[in-house]
Amino acid sequence: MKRAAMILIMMVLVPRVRADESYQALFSRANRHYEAGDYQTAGSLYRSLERQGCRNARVYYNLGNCHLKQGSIGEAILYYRRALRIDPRDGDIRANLELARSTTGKPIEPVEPGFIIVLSGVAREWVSDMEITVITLLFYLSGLTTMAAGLITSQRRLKRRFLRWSGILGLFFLLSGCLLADRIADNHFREWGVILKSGETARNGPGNHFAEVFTMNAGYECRIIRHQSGWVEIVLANGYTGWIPVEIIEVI
Amino acid sequence: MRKIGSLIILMWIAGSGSIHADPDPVELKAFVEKPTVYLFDRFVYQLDITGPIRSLPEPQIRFPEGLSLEGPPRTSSQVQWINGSWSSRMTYQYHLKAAREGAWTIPPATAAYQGETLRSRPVQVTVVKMQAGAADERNAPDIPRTGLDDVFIWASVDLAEPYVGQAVTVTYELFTRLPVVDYQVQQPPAYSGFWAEEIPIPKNPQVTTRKIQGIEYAVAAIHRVELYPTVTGELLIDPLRMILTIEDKARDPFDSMFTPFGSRFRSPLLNFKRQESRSAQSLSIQVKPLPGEGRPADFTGAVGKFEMKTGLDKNRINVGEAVVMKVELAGNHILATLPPPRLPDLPGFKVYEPKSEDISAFPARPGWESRTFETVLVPHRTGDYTLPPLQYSYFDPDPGEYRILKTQPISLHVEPAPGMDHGTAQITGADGSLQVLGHEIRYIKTGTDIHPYKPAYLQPWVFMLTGLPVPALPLIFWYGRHRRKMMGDIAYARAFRAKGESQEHFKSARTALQKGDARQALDEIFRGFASYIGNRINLPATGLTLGSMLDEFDRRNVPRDIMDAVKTFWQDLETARFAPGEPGMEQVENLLAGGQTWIGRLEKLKLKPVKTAIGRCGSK
Repeated sequence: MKRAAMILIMMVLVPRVRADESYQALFSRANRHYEAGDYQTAGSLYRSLERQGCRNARVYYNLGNCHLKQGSIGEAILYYRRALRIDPRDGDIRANLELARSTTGKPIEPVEPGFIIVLSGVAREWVSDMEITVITLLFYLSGLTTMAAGLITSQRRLKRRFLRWSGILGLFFLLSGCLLADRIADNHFREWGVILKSGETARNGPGNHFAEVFTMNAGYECRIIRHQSGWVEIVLANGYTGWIPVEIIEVI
Repeated sequence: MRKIGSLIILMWIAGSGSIHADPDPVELKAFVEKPTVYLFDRFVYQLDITGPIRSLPEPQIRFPEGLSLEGPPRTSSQVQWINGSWSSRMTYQYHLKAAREGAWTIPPATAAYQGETLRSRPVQVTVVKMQAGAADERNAPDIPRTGLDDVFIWASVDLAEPYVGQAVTVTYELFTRLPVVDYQVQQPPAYSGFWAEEIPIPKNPQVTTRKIQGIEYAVAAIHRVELYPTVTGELLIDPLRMILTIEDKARDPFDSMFTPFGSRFRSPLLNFKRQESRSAQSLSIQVKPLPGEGRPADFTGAVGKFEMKTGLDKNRINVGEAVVMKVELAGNHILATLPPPRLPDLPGFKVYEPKSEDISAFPARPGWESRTFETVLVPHRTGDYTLPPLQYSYFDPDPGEYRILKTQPISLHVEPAPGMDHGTAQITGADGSLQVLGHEIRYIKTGTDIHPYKPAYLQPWVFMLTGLPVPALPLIFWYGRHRRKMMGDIAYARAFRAKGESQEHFKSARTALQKGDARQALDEIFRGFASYIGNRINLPATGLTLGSMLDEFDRRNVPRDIMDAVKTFWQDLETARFAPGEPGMEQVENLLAGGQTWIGRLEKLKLKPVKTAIGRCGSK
């Protein structure tokens, strides 16, 4: 039985260890090319890591650096944003993202956001997926535990205290749960994109025959509303809405 | 091939011997295959001992210091019986290398025979330095042959005295009188002191014919290398060694049995192929240093002829938008080794690292290559810019002087970015973003933790922890209710503890049994059983009688068979307890087992009072 369990564990773990080793080798090779100034080769190696399923903040960050070094601002911002989703407090990613953003021209003035949007944005910028998940789980489990203790105990004073705490923890659980739900929706249901080409024009409908609304620079970040026959409707941070061809935008 | 040459010599000598059938005196003859050899070339010095002798002496010889012996001599012998007399021939072949330049005399070789000393004549060998750049002399009749070969490889350079960094092409040509069906490089030279790049040659090269010393050879260039000297002075190009596959058509199949030379096999159509190794001769070239006079400050080592042109992919852009400057450098130098042309300072622009496209042929000039460097420029400010001309310095070896290429200045108009006030002269002036642009990109991550990322909320342990309270909640509710009943319902509490209490008595009974105290054991069994029944039906154990127990059982709807069985057990226990004399141990053990069995069966019954029309029975 023990042997079977060991074999099962090995079957699960060994392929992962091997995959990690191959990722590491490829990553080191890409880093060497970067250090030698061959950003094109380094970039293609990082991209092959991504294609192999190794979506990692370091890979995205280094890929963003390769693009920034080559002057591909749109792609650089795209990969920094992907890296930041995984590791939102990393100083290097934030610094290079700011550097890349500063080359896209005049920054877009965002519309005044509401409290919930601000809260969601702050959480997104400072708390990682792992942290918000663990916090929510802690509130959930501790709230339930205190509630159970309140139900079990026969002392009235203790019962009241337990139930009061369970209520407070429940509120925190609701708050963190909403933030987690927002994060999940952000990662899986809402689409954000980065404009890859400069000088492109957004129109007020999905086609070249529609009127031009505004022009954009590479690296502009926007929210994708919907897709329709090779066009996407986007909203910029300043609230401008328009349709652009799908080729000039990449989903984060 | 030298082996084959030896064979040919032997066969020729044998043929000569058959013509001169008269016995000759014993002679020691010496000769070399060529009187003049090139430095580092290899050649054969041969000694023949001939005469009507059966045992042949070994000759003694010392070679001059300019000619080095490479290994022991190769020997062969031939004995003939012609017209009733013996004739023998022993051949010694010494393989020598021309180690030093000059005229060298190989002194006479000596051999002792029947008290006499045989002596050969001295042989003159002149070692000369190869004159590189002698490609045109290949048609001359004095091209040296590397032995008595029908096949040899000849190396030549197109330039004997290049400058450092100047391209020198080495061509290796195959001279053959035999059908060579394949060839490949066995050992390329080290090319020490050079940056080398092989120039591809078609596998089926163009074949011409040339006459050397009256003999016609098929000639084909089979290997070509471009060398760029990296140091000055005399540089030696080591010999290139190649493997040749030679086809001998329709030979006698039995011939191979007597031919120990070469690896030979028989083809289905009686064609024989053998592989032979051949080396080209070594070459030496004199590399001149580049003149220090007139050397431009930005000279990066380019030697040859070059052209350069520049351009932008667009001439009107917005602030913050990228524009690509393309610089095309073309020349007859290997461009992969050259750094990109240096851009002048471009204030107001963010200049990124240049990236280069693959090197390609330059159609305008045959033999030239071109390489395009692309540099991304991002303007910070609006305005009309004139990008200053680019400059590129190189050394032209033909006139032997440095030259400077200059491109034309390029105009660029930068407009305000969309959304920006058109009157703003400087997009980044007020908000400080210009200073941000001055920062350098932070360095890449080099750590080892590059596990694929999976959001935490999709991890299995999160689902497990989230689902954990689902089965725990009913347990918590049950436990709360149980606690409350334990504290408020005496009958429940007694019934809950009934089995545990009885087990303690049974344990004491077992201890008494082990001590041999059967009566004490019986008392403990009774107490255990009575306390269990009392606790279950919420009656005091002391004073519990069989009648009261059966009445309570009856009220609690206990099945009749169980009631009868419990009654029997109770009576057996009473009988044993109050029987005169010491009870048997086996009987006590049976009663103990019976008590446990009946408690186990009663444990499965609820023993709750039955509700009647006048209300709930039982007491708390």
